[in-house]
Amino acid sequence: MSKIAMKMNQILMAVMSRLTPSCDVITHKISESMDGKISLRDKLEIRIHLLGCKLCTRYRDQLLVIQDMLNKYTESVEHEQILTDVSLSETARERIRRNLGQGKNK
Amino acid sequence: MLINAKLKYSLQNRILFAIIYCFYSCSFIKQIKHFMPKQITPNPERWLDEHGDYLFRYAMFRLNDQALAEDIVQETFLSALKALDHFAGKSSERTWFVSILKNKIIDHYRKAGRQGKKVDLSFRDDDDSDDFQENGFWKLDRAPSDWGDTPEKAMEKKEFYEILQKCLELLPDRISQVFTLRQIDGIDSKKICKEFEISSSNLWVMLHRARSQLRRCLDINWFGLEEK
Repeated sequence: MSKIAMKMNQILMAVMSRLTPSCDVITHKISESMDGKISLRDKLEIRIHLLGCKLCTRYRDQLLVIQDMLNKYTESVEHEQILTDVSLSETARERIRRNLGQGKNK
Repeated sequence: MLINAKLKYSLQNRILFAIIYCFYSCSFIKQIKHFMPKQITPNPERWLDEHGDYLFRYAMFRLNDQALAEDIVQETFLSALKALDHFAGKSSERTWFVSILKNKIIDHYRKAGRQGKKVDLSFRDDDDSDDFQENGFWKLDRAPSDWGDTPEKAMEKKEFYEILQKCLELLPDRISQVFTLRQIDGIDSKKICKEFEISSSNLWVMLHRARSQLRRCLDINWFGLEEK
Protein backbone atom coordinates (compact mmCIF):
# COMPACT_ATOMS: atom_id res chain seq x y z
CA MET A 1 0.00 0.00 0.00
CA SER A 2 2.70 2.43 0.99
CA LYS A 3 4.56 1.48 -2.17
CA ILE A 4 1.63 2.59 -4.28
CA ALA A 5 1.40 5.82 -2.34
CA MET A 6 5.07 6.44 -2.87
CA LYS A 7 4.75 5.75 -6.57
CA MET A 8 1.78 8.11 -6.80
CA ASN A 9 3.76 10.72 -4.97
CA GLN A 10 6.67 10.34 -7.35
CA ILE A 11 4.42 10.68 -10.37
CA LEU A 12 2.74 13.72 -8.89
CA MET A 13 6.12 15.36 -8.22
CA ALA A 14 7.30 14.55 -11.72
CA VAL A 15 4.18 16.15 -13.15
CA MET A 16 4.68 19.18 -10.95
CA SER A 17 8.24 19.61 -12.10
CA ARG A 18 7.09 19.35 -15.71
CA LEU A 19 4.64 22.16 -15.15
CA THR A 20 7.49 24.51 -14.26
CA PRO A 21 10.06 25.69 -16.82
CA SER A 22 12.60 23.06 -17.85
CA CYS A 23 15.91 22.37 -16.11
CA ASP A 24 18.04 24.71 -18.22
CA VAL A 25 15.83 27.65 -17.31
CA ILE A 26 15.62 26.62 -13.67
CA THR A 27 19.40 26.33 -13.34
CA HIS A 28 19.70 29.92 -14.52
CA LYS A 29 17.16 30.98 -11.94
CA ILE A 30 18.91 29.03 -9.20
CA SER A 31 22.12 30.79 -10.07
CA GLU A 32 20.36 34.15 -9.97
CA SER A 33 18.90 33.34 -6.59
CA MET A 34 22.45 33.01 -5.25
CA ASP A 35 22.92 36.69 -6.03
CA GLY A 36 19.92 37.76 -4.09
CA LYS A 37 17.14 39.43 -5.93
CA ILE A 38 14.68 37.15 -7.64
CA SER A 39 10.94 37.47 -7.89
CA LEU A 40 8.55 35.55 -5.69
CA ARG A 41 7.26 33.77 -8.76
CA ASP A 42 10.73 32.53 -9.64
CA LYS A 43 11.27 31.40 -6.09
CA LEU A 44 8.04 29.41 -6.20
CA GLU A 45 8.91 27.89 -9.55
CA ILE A 46 12.29 26.80 -8.21
CA ARG A 47 10.69 25.29 -5.11
CA ILE A 48 8.13 23.36 -7.10
CA HIS A 49 10.63 22.21 -9.68
CA LEU A 50 13.06 20.98 -7.05
CA LEU A 51 10.34 18.88 -5.44
CA GLY A 52 10.28 16.64 -8.44
CA CYS A 53 13.70 17.08 -10.02
CA LYS A 54 16.55 15.29 -8.34
CA LEU A 55 19.24 16.55 -10.70
CA CYS A 56 18.38 20.20 -10.25
CA THR A 57 18.28 19.70 -6.48
CA ARG A 58 21.78 18.31 -6.73
CA TYR A 59 22.79 21.24 -8.88
CA ARG A 60 21.48 23.70 -6.30
CA ASP A 61 23.16 21.91 -3.41
CA GLN A 62 26.44 21.77 -5.25
CA LEU A 63 26.38 25.47 -6.02
CA LEU A 64 25.85 26.12 -2.32
CA VAL A 65 28.73 23.82 -1.44
CA ILE A 66 30.98 25.59 -3.94
CA GLN A 67 30.08 28.94 -2.49
CA ASP A 68 30.97 27.65 0.94
CA MET A 69 34.25 26.21 -0.33
CA LEU A 70 35.23 29.44 -2.00
CA ASN A 71 34.61 31.36 1.19
CA LYS A 72 36.72 28.94 3.19
CA TYR A 73 39.40 28.97 0.51
CA THR A 74 39.74 32.74 0.43
CA GLU A 75 39.69 32.87 4.19
CA SER A 76 42.55 30.44 4.46
CA VAL A 77 44.48 32.26 1.75
CA GLU A 78 44.07 35.47 3.66
CA HIS A 79 44.94 33.92 6.98
CA GLU A 80 48.06 32.51 5.42
CA GLN A 81 47.23 28.87 5.96
CA ILE A 82 47.77 27.93 2.35
CA LEU A 83 49.74 29.44 -0.49
CA THR A 84 52.37 30.28 2.09
CA ASP A 85 55.12 29.71 -0.46
CA VAL A 86 53.85 32.69 -2.46
CA SER A 87 55.80 35.74 -1.43
CA LEU A 88 57.51 38.75 -2.92
CA SER A 89 60.83 37.91 -4.49
CA GLU A 90 63.93 39.72 -3.25
CA THR A 91 64.38 41.62 -6.50
CA ALA A 92 60.78 42.81 -6.49
CA ARG A 93 61.11 43.83 -2.88
CA GLU A 94 64.23 45.80 -3.68
CA ARG A 95 62.56 47.51 -6.64
CA ILE A 96 59.50 48.48 -4.67
CA ARG A 97 61.66 49.81 -1.86
CA ARG A 98 63.60 51.95 -4.30
CA ASN A 99 60.51 53.30 -5.99
CA LEU A 100 58.83 54.01 -2.70
CA GLY A 101 61.89 55.93 -1.59
CA GLN A 102 61.56 58.13 -4.65
CA GLY A 103 57.85 58.57 -4.12
CA LYS A 104 58.45 59.69 -0.56
CA ASN A 105 60.96 62.32 -1.53
CA LYS A 106 58.67 63.94 -4.06
CA MET B 1 1.48 89.19 27.28
CA LEU B 2 3.53 88.01 30.14
CA ILE B 3 3.49 84.47 28.90
CA ASN B 4 4.52 85.60 25.46
CA ALA B 5 7.48 87.50 26.79
CA LYS B 6 8.56 84.56 28.87
CA LEU B 7 8.40 82.30 25.85
CA LYS B 8 10.46 84.67 23.78
CA TYR B 9 13.01 84.97 26.48
CA SER B 10 13.42 81.27 26.86
CA LEU B 11 13.67 80.80 23.10
CA GLN B 12 16.40 83.40 22.83
CA ASN B 13 18.16 81.81 25.69
CA ARG B 14 18.06 78.47 24.07
CA ILE B 15 19.45 79.72 20.80
CA LEU B 16 22.21 81.51 22.63
CA PHE B 17 23.05 78.37 24.53
CA ALA B 18 23.12 76.35 21.37
CA ILE B 19 25.52 78.78 19.70
CA ILE B 20 27.82 78.89 22.68
CA TYR B 21 27.76 75.12 22.92
CA CYS B 22 28.69 74.79 19.27
CA PHE B 23 31.69 77.08 19.63
CA TYR B 24 32.78 75.40 22.77
CA SER B 25 32.59 71.89 21.41
CA CYS B 26 34.41 72.91 18.24
CA SER B 27 37.36 74.28 20.15
CA PHE B 28 37.28 71.23 22.38
CA ILE B 29 37.50 68.88 19.41
CA LYS B 30 40.41 70.88 18.02
CA GLN B 31 42.23 70.49 21.28
CA ILE B 32 41.68 66.75 21.32
CA LYS B 33 42.94 66.46 17.76
CA HIS B 34 46.01 68.35 18.75
CA PHE B 35 46.80 65.90 21.50
CA MET B 36 46.05 62.79 19.50
CA PRO B 37 49.04 60.98 18.01
CA LYS B 38 49.28 60.69 14.26
CA GLN B 39 47.35 57.65 13.09
CA ILE B 40 49.78 56.34 10.56
CA THR B 41 53.37 57.11 9.92
CA PRO B 42 54.68 57.09 6.38
CA ASN B 43 57.19 54.35 6.71
CA PRO B 44 57.30 52.39 3.46
CA GLU B 45 60.10 50.15 4.69
CA ARG B 46 57.98 48.87 7.52
CA TRP B 47 54.88 48.64 5.32
CA LEU B 48 56.76 46.47 2.91
CA ASP B 49 58.03 44.17 5.63
CA GLU B 50 54.73 43.86 7.45
CA HIS B 51 52.21 43.85 4.64
CA GLY B 52 54.15 43.25 1.44
CA ASP B 53 53.81 39.49 1.32
CA TYR B 54 50.20 39.56 2.40
CA LEU B 55 49.20 42.06 -0.26
CA PHE B 56 51.21 40.19 -2.85
CA ARG B 57 49.44 36.96 -1.99
CA TYR B 58 46.12 38.72 -2.10
CA ALA B 59 46.88 40.07 -5.56
CA MET B 60 48.34 36.81 -6.82
CA PHE B 61 45.25 34.94 -5.81
CA ARG B 62 43.14 37.26 -7.93
CA LEU B 63 45.43 38.10 -10.84
CA ASN B 64 47.58 35.01 -11.09
CA ASP B 65 50.37 36.96 -12.76
CA GLN B 66 53.54 37.56 -10.80
CA ALA B 67 54.86 40.68 -12.53
CA LEU B 68 51.44 42.27 -12.49
CA ALA B 69 50.87 41.47 -8.83
CA GLU B 70 54.25 42.99 -7.91
CA ASP B 71 53.43 46.16 -9.81
CA ILE B 72 50.06 46.44 -8.18
CA VAL B 73 51.50 46.04 -4.70
CA GLN B 74 53.94 48.82 -5.48
CA GLU B 75 51.20 51.06 -6.80
CA THR B 76 49.20 50.39 -3.68
CA PHE B 77 52.00 51.61 -1.45
CA LEU B 78 52.59 54.64 -3.65
CA SER B 79 48.91 55.58 -3.51
CA ALA B 80 48.94 55.03 0.23
CA LEU B 81 51.81 57.49 0.56
CA LYS B 82 49.89 60.10 -1.37
CA ALA B 83 46.64 59.51 0.42
CA LEU B 84 47.95 59.41 3.97
CA ASP B 85 45.62 62.21 5.03
CA HIS B 86 42.59 60.19 4.02
CA PHE B 87 43.42 57.38 6.35
CA ALA B 88 40.75 57.81 8.97
CA GLY B 89 42.24 55.52 11.55
CA LYS B 90 38.93 53.70 11.83
CA SER B 91 40.35 50.56 10.31
CA SER B 92 43.67 48.86 10.74
CA GLU B 93 46.54 49.68 8.46
CA ARG B 94 46.17 46.39 6.66
CA THR B 95 42.48 46.82 5.87
CA TRP B 96 43.29 50.22 4.51
CA PHE B 97 45.96 48.81 2.22
CA VAL B 98 43.65 46.02 1.11
CA SER B 99 40.93 48.48 0.19
CA ILE B 100 43.39 50.45 -1.93
CA LEU B 101 44.62 47.21 -3.49
CA LYS B 102 41.08 46.15 -4.36
CA ASN B 103 40.50 49.39 -6.22
CA LYS B 104 43.79 48.97 -8.05
CA ILE B 105 42.73 45.51 -9.17
CA ILE B 106 39.39 46.78 -10.45
CA ASP B 107 41.22 49.58 -12.25
CA HIS B 108 43.42 47.01 -13.87
CA TYR B 109 40.45 44.95 -15.04
CA ARG B 110 38.87 48.03 -16.51
CA LYS B 111 42.04 49.02 -18.35
CA ALA B 112 42.44 45.48 -19.68
CA GLY B 113 38.88 45.70 -20.96
CA ARG B 114 39.52 49.01 -22.71
CA GLN B 115 42.64 47.75 -24.42
CA GLY B 116 40.57 45.49 -26.56
CA LYS B 117 41.05 42.38 -24.52
CA LYS B 118 37.33 42.40 -24.06
CA VAL B 119 36.25 38.91 -24.94
CA ASP B 120 33.95 36.27 -23.68
CA LEU B 121 30.73 38.19 -23.87
CA SER B 122 29.85 35.79 -26.63
CA PHE B 123 30.79 32.86 -24.39
CA ARG B 124 32.10 30.59 -27.02
CA ASP B 125 33.45 27.28 -25.76
CA ASP B 126 31.82 24.95 -23.35
CA ASP B 127 28.45 26.53 -23.56
CA ASP B 128 26.26 25.16 -20.82
CA SER B 129 23.54 24.44 -23.34
CA ASP B 130 25.65 21.33 -23.92
CA ASP B 131 24.47 20.13 -20.54
CA PHE B 132 20.88 19.92 -21.64
CA GLN B 133 18.83 18.00 -24.15
CA GLU B 134 16.74 19.81 -26.71
CA ASN B 135 13.68 19.66 -24.52
CA GLY B 136 15.56 21.47 -21.75
CA PHE B 137 16.21 18.51 -19.46
CA TRP B 138 19.60 17.34 -18.30
CA LYS B 139 21.69 15.17 -20.57
CA LEU B 140 22.30 12.11 -18.46
CA ASP B 141 26.03 11.99 -19.00
CA ARG B 142 26.48 15.66 -18.10
CA ALA B 143 24.08 15.85 -15.21
CA PRO B 144 25.42 16.64 -11.74
CA SER B 145 26.79 13.49 -10.16
CA ASP B 146 26.15 12.56 -6.57
CA TRP B 147 28.77 14.18 -4.35
CA GLY B 148 27.51 12.36 -1.31
CA ASP B 149 29.11 13.52 1.89
CA THR B 150 32.53 14.09 0.32
CA PRO B 151 32.38 17.91 0.19
CA GLU B 152 33.23 18.19 3.88
CA LYS B 153 36.03 15.68 3.59
CA ALA B 154 37.34 17.39 0.48
CA MET B 155 37.60 20.73 2.21
CA GLU B 156 40.11 19.29 4.65
CA LYS B 157 42.47 18.22 1.91
CA LYS B 158 45.14 20.44 0.47
CA GLU B 159 45.03 18.83 -2.97
CA PHE B 160 41.41 19.76 -3.27
CA TYR B 161 42.23 23.45 -3.11
CA GLU B 162 44.82 23.01 -5.82
CA ILE B 163 42.10 21.66 -8.05
CA LEU B 164 39.74 24.42 -7.03
CA GLN B 165 42.40 26.97 -7.95
CA LYS B 166 42.99 25.26 -11.30
CA CYS B 167 39.28 25.25 -12.03
CA LEU B 168 39.10 28.95 -11.23
CA GLU B 169 42.01 29.55 -13.59
CA LEU B 170 40.27 27.64 -16.34
CA LEU B 171 37.39 30.09 -16.42
CA PRO B 172 37.60 32.60 -19.27
CA ASP B 173 39.36 35.79 -18.07
CA ARG B 174 36.47 38.15 -18.07
CA ILE B 175 34.14 35.70 -16.41
CA SER B 176 36.59 34.80 -13.68
CA GLN B 177 37.24 38.48 -12.94
CA VAL B 178 33.57 39.25 -12.59
CA PHE B 179 33.01 36.13 -10.55
CA THR B 180 35.89 36.84 -8.17
CA LEU B 181 34.76 40.40 -7.60
CA ARG B 182 31.18 39.46 -6.96
CA GLN B 183 31.53 36.19 -5.13
CA ILE B 184 34.79 36.50 -3.26
CA ASP B 185 35.16 40.21 -2.72
CA GLY B 186 31.43 40.78 -2.40
CA ILE B 187 31.46 43.92 -4.49
CA ASP B 188 28.11 45.44 -5.37
CA SER B 189 26.78 44.20 -8.69
CA LYS B 190 25.87 47.71 -9.83
CA LYS B 191 29.46 48.79 -9.37
CA ILE B 192 30.73 45.80 -11.32
CA CYS B 193 28.34 46.56 -14.19
CA LYS B 194 29.59 50.12 -14.27
CA GLU B 195 33.28 49.25 -14.20
CA PHE B 196 33.00 46.54 -16.82
CA GLU B 197 30.49 48.45 -18.91
CA ILE B 198 28.08 45.56 -19.12
CA SER B 199 24.36 45.28 -18.55
CA SER B 200 23.06 43.59 -15.45
CA SER B 201 21.62 40.71 -17.46
CA ASN B 202 25.06 40.24 -18.97
CA LEU B 203 26.44 40.05 -15.47
CA TRP B 204 23.91 37.41 -14.42
CA VAL B 205 24.77 35.30 -17.44
CA MET B 206 28.48 35.59 -16.73
CA LEU B 207 28.04 34.65 -13.10
CA HIS B 208 25.85 31.73 -14.03
CA ARG B 209 28.40 30.56 -16.55
CA ALA B 210 31.13 30.79 -13.95
CA ARG B 211 29.19 28.75 -11.41
CA SER B 212 28.18 26.13 -13.94
CA GLN B 213 31.68 25.68 -15.28
CA LEU B 214 33.21 25.60 -11.83
CA ARG B 215 30.70 23.00 -10.73
CA ARG B 216 31.35 20.87 -13.76
CA CYS B 217 35.10 21.18 -13.43
CA LEU B 218 34.98 20.01 -9.81
CA ASP B 219 32.51 17.31 -10.72
CA ILE B 220 34.91 15.86 -13.28
CA ASN B 221 38.25 16.52 -11.62
CA TRP B 222 37.54 15.78 -8.02
CA PHE B 223 34.29 14.11 -7.24
CA GLY B 224 34.23 12.02 -10.38
CA LEU B 225 37.65 10.62 -9.54
CA GLU B 226 36.83 9.72 -5.98
CA GLU B 227 34.00 7.46 -6.96
CA LYS B 228 36.11 5.40 -9.29
